[in-house]
Amino acid sequence: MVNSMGSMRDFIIRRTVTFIPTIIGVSLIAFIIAYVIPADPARAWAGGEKATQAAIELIRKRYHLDEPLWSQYVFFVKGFITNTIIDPRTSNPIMYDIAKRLPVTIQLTLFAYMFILALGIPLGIIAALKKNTIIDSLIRFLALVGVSSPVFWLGYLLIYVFFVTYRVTHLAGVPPPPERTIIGIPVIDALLIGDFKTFTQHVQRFWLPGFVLGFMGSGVIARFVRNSFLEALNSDYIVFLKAKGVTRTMLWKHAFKNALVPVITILGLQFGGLLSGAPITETVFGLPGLGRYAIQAIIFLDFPAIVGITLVFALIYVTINFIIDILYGIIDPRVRY
Amino acid sequence: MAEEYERKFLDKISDKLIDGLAKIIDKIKPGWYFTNRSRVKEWKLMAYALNRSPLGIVGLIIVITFITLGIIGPIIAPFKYNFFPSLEAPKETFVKPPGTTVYLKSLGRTVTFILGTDHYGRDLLSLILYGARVSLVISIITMTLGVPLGILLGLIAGYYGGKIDELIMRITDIFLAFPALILAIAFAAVLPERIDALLSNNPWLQQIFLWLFALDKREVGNLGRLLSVILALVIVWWPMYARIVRGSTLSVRESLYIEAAKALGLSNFKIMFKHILPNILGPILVCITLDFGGVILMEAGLSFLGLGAVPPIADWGRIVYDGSQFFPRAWWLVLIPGSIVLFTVLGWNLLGDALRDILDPRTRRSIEFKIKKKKPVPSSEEGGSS
Repeated sequence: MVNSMGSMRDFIIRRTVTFIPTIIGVSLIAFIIAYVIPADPARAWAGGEKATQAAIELIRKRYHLDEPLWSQYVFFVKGFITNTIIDPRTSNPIMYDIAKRLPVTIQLTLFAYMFILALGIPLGIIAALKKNTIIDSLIRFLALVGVSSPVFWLGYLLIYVFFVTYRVTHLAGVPPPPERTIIGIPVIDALLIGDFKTFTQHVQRFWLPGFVLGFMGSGVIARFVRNSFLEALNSDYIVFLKAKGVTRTMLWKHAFKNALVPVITILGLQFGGLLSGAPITETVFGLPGLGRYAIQAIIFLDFPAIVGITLVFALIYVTINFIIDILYGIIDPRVRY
Repeated sequence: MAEEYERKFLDKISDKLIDGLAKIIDKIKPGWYFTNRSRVKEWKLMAYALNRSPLGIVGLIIVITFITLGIIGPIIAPFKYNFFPSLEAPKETFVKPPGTTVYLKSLGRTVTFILGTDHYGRDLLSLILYGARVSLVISIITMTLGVPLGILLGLIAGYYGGKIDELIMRITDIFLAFPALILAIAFAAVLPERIDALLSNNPWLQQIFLWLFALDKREVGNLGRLLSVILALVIVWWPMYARIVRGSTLSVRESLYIEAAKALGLSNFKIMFKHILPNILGPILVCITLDFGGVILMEAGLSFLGLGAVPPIADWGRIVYDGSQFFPRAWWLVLIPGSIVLFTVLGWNLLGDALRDILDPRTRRSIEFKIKKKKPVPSSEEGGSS
């Protein structure tokens, strides 16, 4: 027991050590995008061709763009940590603008995850149990369609069906958040304080975009669960249980528990796919989230915002995968070594 | 060759194709066929495996159609992508549904827009055909730049190990730490300026790309944005290959034949490219096929977000982006190009999926076993006679 706790601690330390250089690297790439690639960052930040000389000079001074690269980098990192970089377009600190839009994106990914789990795992299990039948091929084909369908195509198609034809969803604005914020995500807050009216409003607004965003992932998960479940069903301990004469449902239960362990990792990787799909989904459904903000920032050539958003997306993704790796280490002791 | 197998119609075709290919190679390198007979036989078995996977065949057909349309699309398109009927008949051609017929004075005849028109009055069918070229060129350039880069770095990391491995993999990890589309968006947003500067210094590059994308001279100013999407996709794509190749290299590195090659004193370069790479090519090939779909999908996503192609350049994602302003009234501008993207990507994915099975030697053996002609079992009466 003592030994196992020690190895767990080693594992977490080892994983943290690789986490830090990744974060530094991520900030370096964000820095390159905003400071190094544009030929004249000050001009680009001020809005490109149409910027006046005075505005360019002002921005050059304010964002230390006339200093050597390393000192720009220091200013940039310090500015993000202390949240003192002001967005030239909105005159707010960048993180303020981002924090305002983050809950929408998080809530969207949450709905998408729900669909991924609710569709992907059952479909995967059915496919495994009905191996090599029509149902299995159908699920396999459906998963491929999911991976192949452009988010915007599916989005507009479902808008046509559910909004234009049947009117069972809303598309305008975002319902107001509940009165009290507990963790900052409106739909969960509403549930926690028992405000069911707000809750249903949010569900009505978010279920369709969530489904569209999660559709691709559910196919991936279904295929993964199928293979993982089949592998578990063919493993030695199941053969042993079979020899012991355990009932079929009992067999499945044993296999299922072990089959789900690797699925956790895939769920973590899926998060990247969901964050990638967020800009397109939010554009299609008119949700004022972080992805939509990124696109606006690009249209207005708002470089500090582009960098801030890229950085925040990467940080979320890296942190989620970090947590999942640790979780995986806790669940599956083999990973720790 | 004697009939060893029970061949179907498709098998005979694929056999002919492979035999033809083998003959051509034999002409170039005399004696090749003799030393590679077993390899040709394996190829034939691979083709048999593909012939027995209906979804794989469907995928192959879609992919071949896509490539063909990408090459000849701009030639067979009824109109040029920058032919604007709205200039002479604005009301009659503004966002009209499929099957609209309009008399155009400049052409002196009535024309039918089979798939409808967009807000410039342009023919959607022609746009999609031109878009196939853009999509094809972008995906091919992305893959030819990104995959070799990933393979090279993965091979070096896996083969040399140690500090080099650590360095390359840390860099790879950093790129993989970004959600793919987000990183692509950021790069596609900042790169155009630099690329435009590069292009205006090298007019021959401009000519090449204009020709590749089948664009008019007037679009020179928009090339930078198209190329920035390609570069952004390359930046997003190479790390995955580096990781896959490194993993496979590690598993092959310690095998006996690599040790033998080292003992013979072959150079590291030769060992990496002649002895390791061919042996890990299978999974890479599957990935490449699947990723062709992935690149097309992400490119469409980027241009849907307003990055990359700008009108009048025809690009599938961009058509949807422009058409979405008129949605749901103008459903054809959104759902038709979207479906084309879906089918193309699905085609690559189906093919890649089938390829995964085909390249698995176990599948080939089981196919061989299944279709081998049964030797006539001598019956008991004539047992002694033969």
